[in-house]
Amino acid sequence: MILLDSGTSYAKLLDTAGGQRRVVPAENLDANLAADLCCGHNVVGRGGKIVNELVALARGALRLTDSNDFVVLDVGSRDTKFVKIKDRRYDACDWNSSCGALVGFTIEMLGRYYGLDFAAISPEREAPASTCGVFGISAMFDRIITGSSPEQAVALFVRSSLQAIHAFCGRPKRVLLSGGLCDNPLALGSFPCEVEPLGRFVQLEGLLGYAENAAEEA
Amino acid sequence: MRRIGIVGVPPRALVAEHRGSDGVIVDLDMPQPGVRKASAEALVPRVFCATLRTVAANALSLDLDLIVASVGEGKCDGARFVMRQLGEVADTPIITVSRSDTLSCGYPICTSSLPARRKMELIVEGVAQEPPKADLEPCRPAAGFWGVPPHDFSILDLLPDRTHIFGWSRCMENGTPADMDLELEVDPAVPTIFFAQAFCPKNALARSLASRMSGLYVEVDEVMSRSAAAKVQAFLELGGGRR
Repeated sequence: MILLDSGTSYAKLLDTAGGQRRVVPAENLDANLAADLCCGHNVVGRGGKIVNELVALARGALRLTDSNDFVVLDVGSRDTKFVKIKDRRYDACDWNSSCGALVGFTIEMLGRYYGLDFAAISPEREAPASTCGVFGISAMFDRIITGSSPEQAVALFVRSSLQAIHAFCGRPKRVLLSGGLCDNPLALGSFPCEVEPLGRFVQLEGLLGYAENAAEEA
Repeated sequence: MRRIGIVGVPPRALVAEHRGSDGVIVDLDMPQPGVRKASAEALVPRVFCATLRTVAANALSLDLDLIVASVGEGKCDGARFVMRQLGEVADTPIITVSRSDTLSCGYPICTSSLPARRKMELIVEGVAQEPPKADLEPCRPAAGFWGVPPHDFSILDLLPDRTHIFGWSRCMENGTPADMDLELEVDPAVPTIFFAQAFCPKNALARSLASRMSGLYVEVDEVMSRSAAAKVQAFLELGGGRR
């Protein structure tokens, strides 16, 4: 069975017949790949059953943690979404695809543009609030032309973006993080709360749970 | 044939009086064929309630003999402002009325087992004329939808069978559009979507009610986004709102 979490920039894949979990840049994904179970922004035309991304995120996190109460937060290329779990049951959710969106994509783009090593940049502990990503980028360029290094300006942008995301998901004391930012040391150090990275395969894990439940019911 | 535009929930008797025997009613709150929303920009900002932009676009574009509009407490201040400005620029005569009726007509459509979209269609159609007396058996609610009739009805298609309608839409059916007590009354045991149009002050009600009732707050502008749809689906599928 092919499971596919088809995000805007990256696809996450698992062939349950003994395969490894894989991350593939969206542009390199086999155009003819057909999935049995899928979620994500780019699932159209992949066939199979489509699972709601928030449902996959919640179910995946429940499989990956024993915590009873938590907020699982997925910062994707294009959007940001979270599910709050209380007593291991749904409590709240939200999905932000406009303000606060494009954070994952923008951080990656800035890293490539300036050739940054995110592991070598010190996280900022405070950053001015930015109303949206566009104003945040504008403020970042203003800092660079007034003497800040790209590293420091990007660190402030990352911190202000994550402050906004933290507010978006209700300012929890701790978040379980899903998505590509789990691999970014600067982002992990810039969260204004405790953060536990769950990795890039949380939604894929949710799909796996879905597949196993379906197999049991059958 | 007279064409009468209506806005909000004007009294049926008033609408009937001006409609006469052969008049046609046009609901200006609802998108009308051939009317471009952009034409509203002569009257209202682009960033504005989608329903009131629809009202403005329809009123400016359609050939109408009269507009009968409810404004103020039983509709909203936005409608009051739009009608006032429309009166300055359009030739169509406008009658505005502020309703404060308290006589309850009941709301059998809201509690029936009809699909949510059909319920809302009947409620909206019922503004101009009393809906046909059908056998509408009440059902036990599986979910709830609180709010005004949405600009984009597709959100209603996401709701399960036996969804009850609450909020201002229920007040519309009840014939008491200014009854805020009824508007705020919800069943805390029912998983409910609290909906408001973007840029509408009712967002304050929707958001706080959703928070207190463990419901889902959804704000939509013109067309429901994929993320808004996903939130509704996830809330229902994950058992949100159950206490």
